[in-house]
Amino acid sequence: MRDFWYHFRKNRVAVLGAEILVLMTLLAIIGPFFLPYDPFAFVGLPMEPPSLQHPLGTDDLGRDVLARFILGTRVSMAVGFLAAATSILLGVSLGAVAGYAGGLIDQLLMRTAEFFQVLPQFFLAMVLVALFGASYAIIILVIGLLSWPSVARLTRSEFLSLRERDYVTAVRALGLSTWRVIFQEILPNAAPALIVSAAIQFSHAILLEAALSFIGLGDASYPSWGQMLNSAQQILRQAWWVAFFPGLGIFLTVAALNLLGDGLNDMQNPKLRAL
Amino acid sequence: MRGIRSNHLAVFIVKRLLATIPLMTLVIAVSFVLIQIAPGDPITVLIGEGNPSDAQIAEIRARLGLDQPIYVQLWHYFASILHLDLGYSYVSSGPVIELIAARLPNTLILMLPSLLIFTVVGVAIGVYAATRPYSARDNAISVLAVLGYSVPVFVLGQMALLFFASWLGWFPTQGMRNFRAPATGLGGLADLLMHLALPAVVLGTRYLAVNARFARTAMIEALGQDYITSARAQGLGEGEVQRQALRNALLPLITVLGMNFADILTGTVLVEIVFGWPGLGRLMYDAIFGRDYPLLMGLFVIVALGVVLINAATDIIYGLVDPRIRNA
Repeated sequence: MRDFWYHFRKNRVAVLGAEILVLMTLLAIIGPFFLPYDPFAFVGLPMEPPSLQHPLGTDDLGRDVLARFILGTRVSMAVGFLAAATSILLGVSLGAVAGYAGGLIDQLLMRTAEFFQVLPQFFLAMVLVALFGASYAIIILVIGLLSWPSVARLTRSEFLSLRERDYVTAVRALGLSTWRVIFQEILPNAAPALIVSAAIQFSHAILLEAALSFIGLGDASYPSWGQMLNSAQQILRQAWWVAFFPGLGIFLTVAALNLLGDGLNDMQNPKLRAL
Repeated sequence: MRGIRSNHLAVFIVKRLLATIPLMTLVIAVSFVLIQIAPGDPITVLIGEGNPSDAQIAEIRARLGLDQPIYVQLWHYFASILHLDLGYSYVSSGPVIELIAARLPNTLILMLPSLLIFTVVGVAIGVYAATRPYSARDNAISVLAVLGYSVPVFVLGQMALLFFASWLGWFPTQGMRNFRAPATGLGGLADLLMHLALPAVVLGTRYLAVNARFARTAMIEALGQDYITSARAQGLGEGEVQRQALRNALLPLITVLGMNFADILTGTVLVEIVFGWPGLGRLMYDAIFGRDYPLLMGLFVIVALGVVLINAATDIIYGLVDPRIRNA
C-alpha cells in the first residue's frame, strides 16, 4: 500500500485527476445542503448574466444557474455512479462465471457479450429510454445493462489466467469452496485491472446520461448537467452562462476520471513504473 | 496460380458476408422484442401516440397482423424489414425509410470529410509522439489526447458555436445552407463549406484524440518488435525503419475504425443537433420531441444493420490488404 502511494504520487497527472474527482464528489455530496437559492424557483429575471446576486446567472425561466449546477453535480454523478455500479456488478459476476466455469457457459456468455458490443449503444439506449420512459431508474438501468460486456470480458480474461496459478490450485486442494476461491483468492488479485475499468465505466456512464439528456431524454424531476445543456441549446446565443458551466462540469469530471484511470493503468505496467 | 488466389479471395469475401446474416437476424429480433415488451400496446410503438379511432386501430391490427400468433407476427416483421418497410412516421406521416434516406446524405457530408482529415492528422500526431516515447513532448500529447476525448462533442460544439460563430462571427451558427441568399455553383459550394467548417472541426477533435492515442501505442509496440531491431542492426536508415513499422502498426486502424463506426455516428448526430445540421441527428431530435416511435425504432434498426455491414466491410478490406487475415 505504501508502495502504491509512492508510485501514485509521482504521476502528477493522475494525482490532478484524483484531486478534481474528490472536489467534484464533495460538491455533489455537501453542496446541495448549502444552495444559494431554491433550484426550482423563479428567483430572478430570465437570462440574467452572472452578477453578485447570481454568480452564474439565471436560466431561461429565471432560475439560479449556480443552484441548479450544484444540484446537477449531485444528480449527474449519482446517476453515473449507480449506472457504473450496475454494469460492474453484472460484468464482474458474468465474467467470473464465464472465466471460472469455462466450457459451454463461457461460450454462451461471451457470444452474448460480443453481440451486445455490436449493437450501437447510444441508439439502443435512445430507443429504450424513449419507449420505457425517461426516469432516472430507467436511465440507470439502461446504461448499466448496455455497458457490462467490456467489464465481463476483462474479468473473464483475468480469471482465466489466475485460476491456473499454483496458489489457486493449492487452496482448492485444501478444500476451499468454489465461492471462497472466487471471492477470497481470485477477485482480490483481479482488483487492480478492475479498478481501472471502473473509472472508465464511471466516466462513460456520465457521458451517456449527459448525451441522452441533451437530446431530450432526461428525467425532468431533477436537473442534471445534460438537461441544463438541453435547455441551454435554445438560448445559446443569448445566454452563454447557461451552457458553459454544466459543460465545464461534465468535462472536468470525465477528464478527471480518464486521467486517473490512465495513471492507474500505467502503474500496473512495471516497465513504465521503473521510469 | 492467379486463378487459385482470386478464388481464395472470393471465398473469403463470401464467407465474411454470410457471417453477417445471423447478426442481422439478431438485430431484427431485438427490435421486434423491444416493440413487444414496451409498455402499452405495440400499436403505440408502431403508429405513435395519435388518437386513432377504434375502426382505424382494427384496420391497422389486421394489416400488421397483430391479431395473429406471435411467431406469425415475428415472421411478418422480418419480411417487412427485408422489404425495407420500417413503417410510417407518426409526425410527418411519410414512410420511415424515405425520411431516413432523405437525411442520410447530409449526415455523410458532415461525417466523412471530417473523419478522413482528422484521422490522418491524428495518426500523424500519434506517430510523432511515438518517436520519443515517455519524453515531455510525448507526455504532453498523451494528456492532450485524454482531454480531447473527455469533452463531449455537444459541449465542445456549443462552446465553438458561441466563440467562433456567435462572438467572432466567422462562421454561420446554424444549418447547412444560407436560404436567405441561395447561391448555386461555386458560390453554393463555398456557402456549404462555411456551414460545414465548424461542426466538422468539432466532430474531428474526437477522431484526432482517439487516433493519436491509438497510433502512438501501436507505433511504440511495432518499433519494439524483433524485425525492427534486426532491420536496424542491418543498417537500415531510420526513415525506412519508421516506414516499415508504420505499415504494420496502422493495419489494425482499419478494424478500429470499423468497430468505432457506431461511436463516430453518435458523435455526428450530437453535433448535428448543436449546429442545426439537417441530417439524421436533427431527424432523431425531432422524433424524440414528437414521441415518433416508428421513426426512432427505424433509426435504431438502420444504424444497427449499418454497423454489422460496416464491420464486415472493414474486415474484407483488412483481408485485401493483409493476406495473413484472409488465409487464416
